[in-house]
Amino acid sequence: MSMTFQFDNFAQLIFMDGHGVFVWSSVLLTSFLLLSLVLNPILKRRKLLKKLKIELMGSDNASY
Amino acid sequence: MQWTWFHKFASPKWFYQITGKILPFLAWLTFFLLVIGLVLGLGYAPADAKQGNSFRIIYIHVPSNFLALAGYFLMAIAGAIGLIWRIKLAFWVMKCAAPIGIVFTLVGLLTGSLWGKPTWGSFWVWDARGTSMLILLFLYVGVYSLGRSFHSANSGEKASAFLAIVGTVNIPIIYKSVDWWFTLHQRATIKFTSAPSMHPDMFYPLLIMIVGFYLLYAVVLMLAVRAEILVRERKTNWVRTLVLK
Amino acid sequence: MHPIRKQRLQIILLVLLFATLAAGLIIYVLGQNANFFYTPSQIKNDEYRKGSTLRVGGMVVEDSIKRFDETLAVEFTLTDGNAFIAVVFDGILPDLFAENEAAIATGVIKDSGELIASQVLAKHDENYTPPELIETMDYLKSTNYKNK
Repeated sequence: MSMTFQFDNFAQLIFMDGHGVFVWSSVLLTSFLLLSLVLNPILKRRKLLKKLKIELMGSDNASY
Repeated sequence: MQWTWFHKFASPKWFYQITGKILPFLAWLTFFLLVIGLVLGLGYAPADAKQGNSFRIIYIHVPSNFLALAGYFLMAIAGAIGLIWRIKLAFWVMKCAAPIGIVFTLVGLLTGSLWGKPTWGSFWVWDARGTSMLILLFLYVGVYSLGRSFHSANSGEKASAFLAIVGTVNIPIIYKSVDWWFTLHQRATIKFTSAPSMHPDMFYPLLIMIVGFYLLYAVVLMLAVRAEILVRERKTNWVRTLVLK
Repeated sequence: MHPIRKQRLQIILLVLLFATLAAGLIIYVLGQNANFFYTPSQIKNDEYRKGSTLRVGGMVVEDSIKRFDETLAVEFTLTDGNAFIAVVFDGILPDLFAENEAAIATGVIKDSGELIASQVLAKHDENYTPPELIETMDYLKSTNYKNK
């Protein structure tokens, strides 16, 4: 496989002969949606662990 | 037949621990594959002779739709395992697969729309492929909302498992729609039975993206199921010791 | 397998069987109606609803594209290899619209047999090729490389 970079400069890479609007908005939209799939459960889990810790510590201190 | 391995895997604690070990490695591998695939696809693959650069959307469109379909199978099979063996973890996997499937299907539809405008000349057409993909989105939404619309979590899980299983009939229809009917959508480029109708310089980046998307799906599903396990098992001793550690 | 689990599996398989049968029936009834477009042959054989808006798809015949001065109007012929249909369209054609490429025109068929189109879409195939390769293939064709 002998692949070369297809664009002469950065502006051409963005413009893509007029198709850049479609290609790059696809990339951005997809990145946003998929990144939210990754971050959402991470934040949810972190928040829950924090909440559970406070609950458990609280009941330990109460010692009934 | 021995079913012990099956029940071991069905233990939420075991799943939580093993995925915790796998995830960091898997996440990095996914990240590198997606970056390499995207750089090759967007920058290095040659433009298509007819479509020009708009064809580069294929590097997102095809992998996300692959996972929208594969994810549906996974969701339905998890639902069936939950129904037959009454394994709660299987239901949780099904429950978590629904919103993930919604996102992947949405990505497939939106990128298809952004590809359709410069090539076909329209953002949306009601041909058999597009319409059957839209039905898939509705099925995912149905499974998602049915599972959350019951007072008891268990009845909701059973109901959405049934809908998920019935909905699988749509998958072969989506796949074969471009062969059964005249559609605006082109036929499959990648087939199980023959070589891809695509130049290798264009195909290898696509292959990297497909593998990357499969791994991303696994990562995202594991993350979601881990969070779900913590919510559901928060009263158990192993979660308590985990929290206080 | 435990008998109760076996029974549940059988119920699920039965549900799946009926769902498949139902879907199969729907597909069978839908049949040709689920096609996105008619072929020029179907139009020629009167296998369509007269007077209503429909889509016709086919290959744009070489040298058939005629453009009119002063307007955007364009006329071309579509074929499926057996029959032909003339299309008149007044609007912006998609970038991929070209001779010997597939196109789908939406509109109403006049008594004269012409399709007055309100929309023209370009249809591309599942083959992707780099531009250089097309040039090489054209060159080989022009030098009769393939004529044995």
